[in-house]
Amino acid sequence: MFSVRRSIKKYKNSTTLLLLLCLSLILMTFNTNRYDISPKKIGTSFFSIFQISASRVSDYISDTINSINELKQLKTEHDILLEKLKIYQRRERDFLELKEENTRLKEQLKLTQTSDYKFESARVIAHEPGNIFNSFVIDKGSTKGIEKNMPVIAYQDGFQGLVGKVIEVSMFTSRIIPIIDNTGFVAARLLNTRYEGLVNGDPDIQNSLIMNYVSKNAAKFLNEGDLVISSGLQSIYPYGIYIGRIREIKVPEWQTSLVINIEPIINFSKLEYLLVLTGEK
Amino acid sequence: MFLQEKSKTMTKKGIVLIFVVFVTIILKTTILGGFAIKGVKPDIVLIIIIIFSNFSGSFKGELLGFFSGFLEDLLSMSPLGFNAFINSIIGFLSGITVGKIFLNPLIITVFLVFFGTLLKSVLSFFLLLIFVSEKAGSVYTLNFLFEILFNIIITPFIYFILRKSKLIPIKNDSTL
Repeated sequence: MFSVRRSIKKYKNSTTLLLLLCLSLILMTFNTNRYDISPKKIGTSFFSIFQISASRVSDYISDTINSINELKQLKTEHDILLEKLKIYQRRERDFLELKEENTRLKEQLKLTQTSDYKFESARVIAHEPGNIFNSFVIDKGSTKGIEKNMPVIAYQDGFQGLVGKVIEVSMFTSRIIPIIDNTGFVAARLLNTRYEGLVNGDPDIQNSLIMNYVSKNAAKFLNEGDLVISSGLQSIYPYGIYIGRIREIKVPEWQTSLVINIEPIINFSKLEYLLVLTGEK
Repeated sequence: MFLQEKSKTMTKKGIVLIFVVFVTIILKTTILGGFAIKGVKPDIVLIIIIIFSNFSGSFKGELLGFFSGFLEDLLSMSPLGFNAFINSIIGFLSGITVGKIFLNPLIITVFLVFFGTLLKSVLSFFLLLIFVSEKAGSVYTLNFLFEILFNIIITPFIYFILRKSKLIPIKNDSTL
């Protein structure tokens, strides 16, 4: 007994402190609502850590799966949008093509309104299968009044240019021989100097013309770029249709006339729409 | 029985090939016309004739040559019979080599196309000299060299297309 009293006395301060602390805790616990601790709640709290973790893992997996699904959905949407983009791009191309076609047709319309000739508008539908001959086929034939030897013109870059003539006619199509073929001849005249000559296709150079029988006296009056027109003399081609521009003038010593290389007004590789002159108005 | 079936298959192939040539000519005058480089187009029909003849012999080669040439004549301003004549000869000559030269079939084909294009120009020149003399000068221009080059370049492609489509019999290419 004596020894317990002596011990308490000895650890009095520490023991008292411990008691006071415990009391304080107890007091705090029962006299405030700050710490709501019950065994169930403690258990719930403890296990809730796992629940939260599990939930977070689950959410993570679920989010990942959803993300994959979303990606799939996005890919589908992306593909659909790409398809739509293609459709729009195609529409844009169509639009541009239609715009260009519209311009070309307007040019033709302008020509038909201002010309003194009756026309049949046509489109080039086929070319020669080989490289030796030069001809092309248009989509108008005898049913539209096309006849052999009718002259053909086109409107390009503001010029009414000579294309060639009809050499074959079927019911629905006609074959045209262009002036760039070396077998076709056109009576021509230099627009500024009024000198006359004969134009035909250059057999050596693709899409090029040669003008022969122009007097050598004309050499000093001619310049590169001068315009050449059809003269209309004893020809199926009417007067005043542009043929081309002078590219080069040669003065061969062994000839009495000049040899003039001409660049055609019409770009034959671009030729799409043309007009067959069916007669005078 | 086996021979009958083989004959039927060959007839079917022949009809398909004629159809292919027909379509090629139509395309050549319309859509493919736009693919000309410097105004020069490769002669796809000539290449098909040479490849076919080189595998099927002179008889079928000349028949195909004639048919295709005739069709080209109808769609061209050339005199009727001009291309039929040239293609028949080329078809016949290309068929002579069957079983006589043991080289890689593609190499033989390229050589035949080269010589075939040369022969075509020679025949064209003489035929034009006789029938349309003013056009004879149009044969030997720079375009002719381009045509030979184009023909040689596209021959392997046409060869493989025809082989893949089984329109020509498959030979062993490893005989080089």
